[in-house]
Amino acid sequence: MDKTKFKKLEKIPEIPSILLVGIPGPGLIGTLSVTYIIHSLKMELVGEIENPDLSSIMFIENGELLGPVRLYKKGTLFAVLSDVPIDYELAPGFTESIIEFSKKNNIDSIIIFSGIHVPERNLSNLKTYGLVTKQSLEKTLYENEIPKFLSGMITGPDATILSILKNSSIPAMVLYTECNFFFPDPESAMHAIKTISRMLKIKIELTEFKNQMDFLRLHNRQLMEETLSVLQQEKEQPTVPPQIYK
Amino acid sequence: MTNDFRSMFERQINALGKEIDDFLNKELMPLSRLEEKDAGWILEIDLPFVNKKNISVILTSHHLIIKAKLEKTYCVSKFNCVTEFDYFKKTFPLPPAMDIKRISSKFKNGILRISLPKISTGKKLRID
Repeated sequence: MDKTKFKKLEKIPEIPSILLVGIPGPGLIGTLSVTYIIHSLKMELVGEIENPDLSSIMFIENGELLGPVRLYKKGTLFAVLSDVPIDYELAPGFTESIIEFSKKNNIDSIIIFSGIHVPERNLSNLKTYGLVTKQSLEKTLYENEIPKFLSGMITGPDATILSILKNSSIPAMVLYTECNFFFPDPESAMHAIKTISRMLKIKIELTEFKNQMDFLRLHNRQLMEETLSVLQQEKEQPTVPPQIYK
Repeated sequence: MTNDFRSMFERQINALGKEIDDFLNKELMPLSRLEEKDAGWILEIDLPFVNKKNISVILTSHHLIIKAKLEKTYCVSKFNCVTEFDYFKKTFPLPPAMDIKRISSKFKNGILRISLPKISTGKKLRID
């Protein structure tokens, strides 16, 4: 009789689908890190997010028309990259589009790159903090030694995006890396890339990024100015006066 | 690979309407930030590709003029025209009631930080 033994196969774990989100923000962390990840992993352009409010700007690259908010994919890793800052008016539509895309493509979690202003940060010992909308992602923070963002305040369009994500069924995580809020900060973006690389267990070669740091600071001045004007804008005041004045 | 990565940022040069007009005087406009604190103002200027020894800070009666030479020429291609830049330059109006004698500056991690203290002496007022 055949004495071949069969080992009981364990269920092969599915590779989770992740959506990385890069939008212009503090230190341009989101833009710089997600752009480089897309480039380094050679992610494929698979679509765009269309929104009537975003249609006032189009780019032309190699003779092709591109919208300002584009979707990329490689395997089970997706990325959405915006070339324009997302202001208060665009934030709800943008976030709903992200959620809709995530549901249609069975995205397991959304990871957003952002920055937190720390003027006297130590460039050789930068820190990234995590904020999650669902408890299921806390384990990911813990396993990757990412300290939890314990207390503070988030303002601006970022707060709008987070409040919508908090109420959606897709777990979301925001990675806040210490940065210079007001100038493009490639050092901090590089730290964010290292963090995600470790978390997702994917190798991202950083030599090219390191060689381009000064160039990135110089080349993104205009985007940084535009981003700051969006982040620092005040939300339009409500027309109904507060109760005490009635 | 480097050119592909750079080209992903090329769109920013032509986008967004409001432009940093480097082309007006063929000098780069650095990003800057002036913040008022209790004791004075802090002016920060972002100067990538610059060595400390190539920065000049000139104080006039009403302005602060920053000029810095880049360590390598920066080329911008716009509308099929390539422009080369070798310098940053920016002029700042001086804040009011500043103590000129105590101005100091520091260059660290590519950022020039100028401290502009406020005048701390004055006439004491009597409170009735």
